[in-house]
Amino acid sequence: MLSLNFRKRKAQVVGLIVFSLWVANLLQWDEGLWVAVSVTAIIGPFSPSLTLQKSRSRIIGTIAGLLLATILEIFLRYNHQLVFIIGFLLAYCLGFTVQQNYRYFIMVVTIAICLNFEYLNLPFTSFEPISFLISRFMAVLAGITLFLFIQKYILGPQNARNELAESTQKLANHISDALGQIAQASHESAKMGIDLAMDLSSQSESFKELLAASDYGLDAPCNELNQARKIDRLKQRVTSLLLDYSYAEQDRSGAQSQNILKLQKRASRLSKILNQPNQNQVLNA
Amino acid sequence: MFAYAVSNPLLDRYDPYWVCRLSALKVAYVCVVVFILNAFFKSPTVPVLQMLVTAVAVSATELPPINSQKKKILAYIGVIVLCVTTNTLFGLVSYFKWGQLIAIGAWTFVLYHFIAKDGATANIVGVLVLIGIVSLEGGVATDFNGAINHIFFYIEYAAVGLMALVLFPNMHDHIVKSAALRLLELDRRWLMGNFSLQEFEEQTIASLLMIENQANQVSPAIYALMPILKSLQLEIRADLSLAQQRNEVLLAQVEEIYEAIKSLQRVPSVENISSGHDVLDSKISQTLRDLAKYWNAQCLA
Repeated sequence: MLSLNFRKRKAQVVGLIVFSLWVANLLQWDEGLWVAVSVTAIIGPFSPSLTLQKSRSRIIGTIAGLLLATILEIFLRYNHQLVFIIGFLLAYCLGFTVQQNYRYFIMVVTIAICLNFEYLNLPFTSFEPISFLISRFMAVLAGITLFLFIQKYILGPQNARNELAESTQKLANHISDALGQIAQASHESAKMGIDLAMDLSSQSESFKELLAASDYGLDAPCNELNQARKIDRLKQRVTSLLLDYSYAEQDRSGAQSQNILKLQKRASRLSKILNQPNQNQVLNA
Repeated sequence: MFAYAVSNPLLDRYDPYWVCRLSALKVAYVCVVVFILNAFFKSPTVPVLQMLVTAVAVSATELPPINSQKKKILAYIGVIVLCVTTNTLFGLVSYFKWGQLIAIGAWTFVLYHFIAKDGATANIVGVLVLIGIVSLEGGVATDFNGAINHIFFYIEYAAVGLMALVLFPNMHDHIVKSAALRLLELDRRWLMGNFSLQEFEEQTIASLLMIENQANQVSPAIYALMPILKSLQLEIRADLSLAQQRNEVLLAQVEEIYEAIKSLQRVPSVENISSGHDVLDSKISQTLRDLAKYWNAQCLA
């Protein structure tokens, strides 16, 4: 079941895309469609905090990409037979950066799209790199400004707060589940502590990303942010506990059996605390 | 080729687990195939859009959740179908001023409604819509006849891309070996005492998750390194005092295995891996010996 906040964000994103297209149609600039392209690219990460964080990388990546694309266009004008090599290098860089760095990825995508468009519109293209650069830059800047203005001043930080709170709650539930499994584990339990720690870590990846970007999405420190930071610290402690448990489980000598019991008691206590209705007080304590 | 060795000091800094190198090679390879294809096809427009859609679908197959051959093929076909539908629809309505806005808004909403279940899947919808809007810049088809012609052209490229993808050699064992190297580097730094427990735990789990994600993509013999590496990390982590003092014997053993994995060679002196001073040291040495023996016996073929 999707949360109300998630559904609300979907409507916001669709509205922003349509609005940016309308602005692009209204402006009738040379490269006006890039207003909508920029807004859609920034909205890609979906979350308000992540989109705001990535808009910075987007601005830097787009400017660098436009400059490099202009140089490449001038180069290809006189060396058009090398387009195959440039295409191959761009494809390689695209594949490398897609999972590496968003800023470089945007830079390569910008170069690729610029060159693609020049070849798409080959019979009509002006081949005036400077005017092309300026008009595209204007459209990108307009798109980014439009997005930042709407996200910051019209949509506001409420959505980012709700999202962080939901993500924190989800992680708290995962932590509680992992602790519950340790507390009730039999000696022949199928999942070792280290597997549970790995599960917990992969479940908290999006939370960590969101927490790192929350400074951009939230205007000022708030309860949701404090709560999220506490849960993040708790997650680190629980990970340590799970690894301790896993080691004790691996080595079932006399002392380690006692350790297992001790760790199970700790897990059970933490799990109870997390399942209490007023977690906030408990976390503060 | 030096860039495609299991470990390259320069590239390891930017791509510690070999994931980006693999993805880059795959996208570049498929691009060369579609470039060659382009030499023999007569396209209705300049075919960069078809190439872009194929490249995006290939990139999607390298995302971490797409971690088996079956999932890769399904993801590839899914991305192609959705991209082609989106581009065709956006092209058909691009002729109208308000109709374009309404149709793009409606289709975007439909995509988000049926596909976006969390942040990651919403991201995929974002890419589909982005390519759809980018396609408006090119020579889009605004009538059914043109649209069908374009669709066939997309399918031709996609089919060749899929064939190229299926024929691409499986290099995922390099990811497992890279992750094993990162774990041994962690151990080395831990034994030298210049690492915090939290960093050690975080990076250990990140590397183990990377190996786990390859479970369905590498041979069982390579994946069987996982339990040995897990045991090794737990044992090394268990004695916090190890971090305080430089343990020369263990360090030399770790170093020897590290170098062997890095150069894809045998660990030369497995039997010389001696037991350490106390119980824990001897357990770690035993696990290192198991790792070295397993590497020599199973992972070099």
